Amino acid sequence: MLTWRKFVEKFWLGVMIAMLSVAIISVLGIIGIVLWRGFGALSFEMFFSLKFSPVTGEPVGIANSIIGSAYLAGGGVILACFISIPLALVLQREYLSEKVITAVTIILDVLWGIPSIVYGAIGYLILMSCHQRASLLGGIVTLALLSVPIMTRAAMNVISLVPVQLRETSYGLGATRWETISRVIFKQALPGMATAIMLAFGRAIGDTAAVLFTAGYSDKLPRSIMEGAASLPITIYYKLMMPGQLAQRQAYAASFVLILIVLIVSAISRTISNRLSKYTVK
Amino acid sequence: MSHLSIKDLHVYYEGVETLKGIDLEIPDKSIVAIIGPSGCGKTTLLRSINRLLELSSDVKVTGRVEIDGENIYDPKADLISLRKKMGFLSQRPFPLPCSIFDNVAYGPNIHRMDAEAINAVALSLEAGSKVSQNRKEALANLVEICLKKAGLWEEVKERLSSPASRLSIGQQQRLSLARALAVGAEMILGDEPTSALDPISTKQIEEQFKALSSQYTIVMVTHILRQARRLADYVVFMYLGELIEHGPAAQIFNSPQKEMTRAYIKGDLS
Repeated sequence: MLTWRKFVEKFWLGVMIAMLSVAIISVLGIIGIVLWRGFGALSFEMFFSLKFSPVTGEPVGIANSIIGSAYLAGGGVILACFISIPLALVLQREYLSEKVITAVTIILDVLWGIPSIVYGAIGYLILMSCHQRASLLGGIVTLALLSVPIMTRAAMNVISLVPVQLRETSYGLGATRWETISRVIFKQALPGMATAIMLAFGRAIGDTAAVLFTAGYSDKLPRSIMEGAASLPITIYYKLMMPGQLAQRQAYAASFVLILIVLIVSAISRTISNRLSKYTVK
Repeated sequence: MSHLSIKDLHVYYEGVETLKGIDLEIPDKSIVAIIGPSGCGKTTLLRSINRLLELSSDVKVTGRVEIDGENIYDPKADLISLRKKMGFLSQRPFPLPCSIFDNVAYGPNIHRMDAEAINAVALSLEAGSKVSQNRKEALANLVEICLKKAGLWEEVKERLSSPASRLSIGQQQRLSLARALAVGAEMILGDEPTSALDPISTKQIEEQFKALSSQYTIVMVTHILRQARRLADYVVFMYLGELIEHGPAAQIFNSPQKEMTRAYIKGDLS
């Protein structure tokens, strides 16, 4: 009997280690392939310029896409924060009944599951109805809409982990709901919220479909919020579709840049999260 | 000093009656221990006094809990000022996610107490204490007095700005006490406040309660009979949601009137 239990114990441990290896190998594999294919195109010029190749006339620099993506994802996520964080804070038992919270949660889950191309199409419709062309603003608004359900649900989960006794402590001292939420619950949940924001940023910066119709494309750096802007996912898509080795290599190099940005932002958010958790109650 | 009385209090959790008509006058400036076996409604009674019960879902309360004649269950009652009068210590202390200083200053800050109000609380805690017209100084002075009264000052005076969550659990419970004193509470409610503490911390909390009982009404739930014997001036015995007997501690422990109380004190009933 004991041997069987030991076998089951070892079997599941083995399964878990195997799955962990799959995850690690996948990430390393993706980074490896992207680097291998794109290494030749990685250069200072590529990151920081908008130059065109004197031989083929193809663009060499992708600064427009890097800056465009940073504006789009950064702007979208900042805008989404203004909606998601108050929304997550109001979706608490302090303010709303259990039934309302459940209903809104289901709606958010459905919104989370909607493919981004649908958000792109809706964004495009809104732009058309306002007689506007694809622009940075259009892309930012669409990415914000895409990020709201992700950020709100993640923030709600973080808030639900705040111990109920912390709320009681605050109410017991005569605090109002807002004081309890803003000074205690929000502070306790803040490190987790940084992760929620990061999650949304990762989704926003990598999304192609949402910005395809709404942000458009431009060879130049965006100078106004009403101008079209390039983004890394669309640049990767265009370059992959183009013939010629340089374009192909650049597509993979741009993919590497995208991964690098997500990695850097992830590391920053982790550092911020650790700093913010100095005072939180474990 | 406020006076607390409970009249025909019934509490229903999801339709089940957990408190069955409690009538009780709480004696002022004394330690009142609510005793009884697990699940008898001790904590429910305590949490009904400051309406923390309402944070649980599907709770219905009927009857009256009066503070100086004002029913706290009156829809027009000012819940914020009522809760301010009652400091609450839970079973496991929870420091707020801020520094030690800010934990104690939390109450005065949320109630936007000015220097005068802060000085008044400081003077009520320690006659002849320092006063200042500068709010910042007055608050620092109040925090010091509260931490001293809670028996924590000497251990934390050098690290007031460090996170309160880094304190030991015993220190956290004394911090909870300091936090309650700083808001100008007139009563202290303790829900088995020493159950998560080690013997030394328990002794420290008990000593603080003893010292504070000349100024405050302290109502505490305990399932440790020896603790009730050590501390209580007045004892309330409950069983299955009913108030079986209450009276001065000496009477309840030495010559209980009800058979059930006698059986519980002897250890025959649990």
